[in-house]
Amino acid sequence: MDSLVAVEKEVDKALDLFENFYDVIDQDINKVIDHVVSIMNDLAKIENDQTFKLSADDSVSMCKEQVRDFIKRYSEKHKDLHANISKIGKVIDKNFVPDYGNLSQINLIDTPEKKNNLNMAICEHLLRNGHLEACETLIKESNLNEKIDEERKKPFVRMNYILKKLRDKDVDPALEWCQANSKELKEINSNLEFNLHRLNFIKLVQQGTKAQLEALKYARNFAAFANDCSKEIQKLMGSLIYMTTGLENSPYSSYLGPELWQEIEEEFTKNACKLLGLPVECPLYICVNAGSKALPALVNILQVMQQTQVGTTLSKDELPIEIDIGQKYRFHSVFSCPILRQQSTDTNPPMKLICGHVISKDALSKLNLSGKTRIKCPYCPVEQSPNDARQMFF
Amino acid sequence: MDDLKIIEHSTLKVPYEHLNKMYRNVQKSIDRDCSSINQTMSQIDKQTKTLSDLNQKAELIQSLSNLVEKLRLVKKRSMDLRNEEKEQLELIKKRVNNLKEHDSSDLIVRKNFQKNRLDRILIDYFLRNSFYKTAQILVEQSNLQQMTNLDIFLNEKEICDSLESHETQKCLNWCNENKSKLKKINSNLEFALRQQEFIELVRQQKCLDAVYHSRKYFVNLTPNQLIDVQKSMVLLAYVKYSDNQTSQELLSETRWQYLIDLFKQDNYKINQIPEQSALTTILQAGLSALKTPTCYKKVTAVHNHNCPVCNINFNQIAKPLPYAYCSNSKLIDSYTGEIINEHNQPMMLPNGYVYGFNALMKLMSENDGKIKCPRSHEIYDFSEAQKVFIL
Repeated sequence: MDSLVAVEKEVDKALDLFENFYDVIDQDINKVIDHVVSIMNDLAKIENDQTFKLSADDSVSMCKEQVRDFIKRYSEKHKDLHANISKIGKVIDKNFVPDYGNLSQINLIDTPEKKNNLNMAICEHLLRNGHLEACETLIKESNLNEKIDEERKKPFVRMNYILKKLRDKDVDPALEWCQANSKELKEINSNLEFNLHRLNFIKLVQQGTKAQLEALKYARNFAAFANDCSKEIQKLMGSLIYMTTGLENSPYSSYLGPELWQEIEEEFTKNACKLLGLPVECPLYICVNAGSKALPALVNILQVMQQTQVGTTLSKDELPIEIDIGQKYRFHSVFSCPILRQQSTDTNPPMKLICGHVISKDALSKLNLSGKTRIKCPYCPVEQSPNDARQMFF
Repeated sequence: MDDLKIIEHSTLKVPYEHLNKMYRNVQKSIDRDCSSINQTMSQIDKQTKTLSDLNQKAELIQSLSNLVEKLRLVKKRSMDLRNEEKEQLELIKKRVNNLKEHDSSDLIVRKNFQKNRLDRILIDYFLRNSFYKTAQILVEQSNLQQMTNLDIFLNEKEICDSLESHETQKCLNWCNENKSKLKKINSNLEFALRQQEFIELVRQQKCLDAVYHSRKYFVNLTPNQLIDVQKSMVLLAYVKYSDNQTSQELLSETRWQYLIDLFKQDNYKINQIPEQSALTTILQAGLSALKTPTCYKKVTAVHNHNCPVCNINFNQIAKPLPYAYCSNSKLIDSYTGEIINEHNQPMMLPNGYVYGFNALMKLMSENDGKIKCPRSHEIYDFSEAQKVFIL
């Protein structure tokens, strides 16, 4: 944030100086023009040879001086502004990192196949976000034609239509879709249909008393959700009290913000993708978000590694530091042996000792190097035979 | 260090570079105007010196009025110049303001920023890979005209197209426009273009023209360029039996592709566009941070199709990348997807499968108080599950 403010400060400064420069120049040029015009007028009046020559000499040489003075100022003052321009560039360079250092040394997309994979992932992202036209153009421009057939696009076309309508605050197509898929939606415990009805209901309440009857009638739609959403239904019905005075100044004002509409778009996309057997959140979006979290840390550590001459590139096995990308983006259990600090694999699985403590198989065999028949748990006094340890699966 | 600092350098530097170029052109334009005024003034000065009688009055007044005309023109032009420079400065300001949304206190604004950022990164990727139409559509649909550098790339496309149809003129014009910058980065582009022209002349059997061409343009060469020139001059000798390997290389079609790549490289450099697309670098970091041994079946576990690294599109791409480093175990219940920790203790069934306490409760409620392992389908009592300690 500070870096942005620093750049903005310089830009504002430059804007002021430029405005000022041109204002002054404009005034100056007006003065010069006025002066020349007045000379012309004066000369026009003169009818005597002698006076004409003297006066012309005089006024032209004065004019010359003024004009030369002006052009000198015009050019030089503009030249002076360069310092401010280059300052902007310097501030940008100082506050932002111009490249990713050694991180970009690997060519991630090194085969045509990987390129296709990446373009497919982008297509999926575009489809999910309602950019059907962009997706179709990408398919053409990147020659993915054979890879994506019409059948694959079809559900997205419908999804896009519904999303577009939701953006126009029309929930009906989405409701229709819910009713058509009610069984599947129930299986994944979706609240989508209720939330759609809720939006329709709020729309009616917003219209004020004239829609009173309609709102009451519409509330019957909530009956089907009485078990799962009773709290929310109570709240919604409560909002009827404020129909006359308007929701804006009521405890229900949060119903009016854009949040609910944004949420419903996301909820619908997630539900629709789930039913299509697709990941709930767009994989490309997750990768880029995780990447923008990880990138600063990685660039940083590479710099430090270079400075301390530990190395210049990342190892191929494991990243050198732990990056917290948030619980939401953890998709698999990872068991890390508390003794060896290694992630387990099928050849080095987690083993449960009799006492319930878990260590990796490699750590267990290290404890038993001398081939003793009994070992002691590293974390508690319990002794046991190494054979009593059990492999676990997460 | 935050992600803005790492990712957005070019977002600000590219329009800055443009501003800088524009500023220099404005200065040139101002200097031109000034010298033109100066010239007119000098003429008037001379005219005044030779004045003898009133008959020349009309003439002098006419000259003065010409001067006024010229000054008015300069005044008008200075307003145009002012707007140009102002607009470019304001563009940088707009980009700064857009980037500020990254730290907005409003969650929706922040989410929107991330979405837009992905679109921007994609547009950059499209443009680099010549998917111009896709880029244009996305720019329009996402309203990112001011946040992307479409113009630079469209200009680049025009020149690439001309090179593809074996024309050098447009690219040479471009070299001329950016002469001082190209010199600063030691660009070889102009020389390579001239060399290509030479090769084309030889190809058309216009050997004499080729010699003239070489005399005109192959001057002030660097040692490396001299070697290249010598290699191309050889063509004059055996153009008819071009089985010689070097000659074949020079005459080959791929040299035009080489020129296109060379031009693109220089174009990026002088516009301060990073050499690599942000997309692949960010993906590299992101995939690595997400990558676990489970994604490559090094660990037997339940498949999670929400994981991007397991996704067919990314699995191959992420293969050569390092795994995320994980110093402490992070466990996720394979049945409910909940985190397993001290509030949801891990329990192991006799078959070795581990679930969180909550999952076992859920399984019991679904199966009359007995636990049916979702993976092995064996049935156990709750008393058979053992608490385990993951440190």
